[in-house]
Amino acid sequence: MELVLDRLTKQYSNKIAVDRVSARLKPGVIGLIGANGAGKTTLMRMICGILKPTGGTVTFKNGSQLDVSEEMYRDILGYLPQDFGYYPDFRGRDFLMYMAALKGLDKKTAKRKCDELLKIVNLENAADKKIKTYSGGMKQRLGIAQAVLNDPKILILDEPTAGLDLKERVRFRNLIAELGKDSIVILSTHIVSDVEHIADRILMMKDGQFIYDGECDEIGMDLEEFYLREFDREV
Amino acid sequence: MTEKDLKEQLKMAYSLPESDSRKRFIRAYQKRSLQLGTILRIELEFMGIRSVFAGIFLFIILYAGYRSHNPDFTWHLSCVIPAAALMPMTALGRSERYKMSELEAASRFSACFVRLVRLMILGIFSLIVLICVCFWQAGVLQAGTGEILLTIAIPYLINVYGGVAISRKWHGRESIFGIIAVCMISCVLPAVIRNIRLQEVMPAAAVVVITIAVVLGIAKECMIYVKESEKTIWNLC
Repeated sequence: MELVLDRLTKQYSNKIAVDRVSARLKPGVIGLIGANGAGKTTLMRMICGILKPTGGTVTFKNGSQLDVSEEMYRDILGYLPQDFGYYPDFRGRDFLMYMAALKGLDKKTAKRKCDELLKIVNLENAADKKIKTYSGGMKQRLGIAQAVLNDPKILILDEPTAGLDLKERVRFRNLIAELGKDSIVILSTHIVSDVEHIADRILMMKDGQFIYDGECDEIGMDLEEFYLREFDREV
Repeated sequence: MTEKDLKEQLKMAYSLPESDSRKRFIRAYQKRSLQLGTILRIELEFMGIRSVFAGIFLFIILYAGYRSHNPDFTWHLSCVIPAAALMPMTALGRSERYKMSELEAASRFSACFVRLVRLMILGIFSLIVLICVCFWQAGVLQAGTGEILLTIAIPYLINVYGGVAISRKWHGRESIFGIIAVCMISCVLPAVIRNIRLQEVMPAAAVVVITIAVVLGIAKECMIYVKESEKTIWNLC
């Protein structure tokens, strides 16, 4: 299983947000780090297929099967956007059931998965409360739950730890590390500590390009220190 | 290797590959339509309380009209029904309004499909209401075909056209207020047409042409509305 990004580019009228980015992504946790405005969200949106790139391709290779259709790709995709909303009349469980339906899960499986995930993200007791009564952290956890509803083979998380307290961050890291065993998990953040313990590979982004692409073990020093050094060097 | 070959190879290496084709998108899009029933049920389930209230309101109006023996009152009621029936159109742009579009677009059924289903639900609902009101006018009020088309069908269709166009162009509160304003205008329009006796002046052929033009306009708006989501959707290879 492999996700290949080939010279992926996104150009807005007067700015290149992502500039000919190429990578071969294999199962594991991939930490995508970079400052605000580096192009992380644009890149993730393009990988998810919700933003049309100016150029380049994303190819998902699954064993002997070289190409997959758009629907098949979406079927194995889990996505947590940086900024997402919910319908005001939704309760936590409704939201998950709605997303499960859009992901093509049958009712029985959806119900089982929702219960399971509500327990994992510690929202069991708040499942039947309206989402508008939720705190920021609770909404974020609900977002994480919807992203993993369909047991995705490719999981894309854009700033997933925003709003989570320390305890929840630890729970989340464990969940991601577990998922990364047989899925491609791309985790975008500007907080280095979020990825340093769980990421198998680090992609550092600046001005729409990868300035570092390598395994965590290769770095040989504290990731935060390395991150700052790489950025200073570029400056 | 000659300089020319080197230049060619460099050009190939640095040129951007073409974005995926439209054909692939359409192929995938048609394939997804097989699961229409499933998503239709879900959308109906989640369409919101507004549609239920609109239905109850319509029933009350119809019942009041049925009980009334005053033709003028009945006629005015029949003009209000279409506008009330189209109030759920405000639900069309709810994905953008509530920031759900990104999540929906990344799901298996995609934003394009969700939009199509919403339009289908509203379209079927609107068509049933329109046919009922037309038969009601013809049966109870003994109105002629030309009069029904001009005072009921055309304002109703203009309302649908306006609703879809507004949902497409505006998002958030602007779209809700815009649709409500169009509904209000289409409520008043039949009375204006009747007062200026337009049905007596305008030839039947012109009425038919206007009706067809508005229907085609609606079809075009709906197609653009559904296809617009394609702008943000990229076909993977």
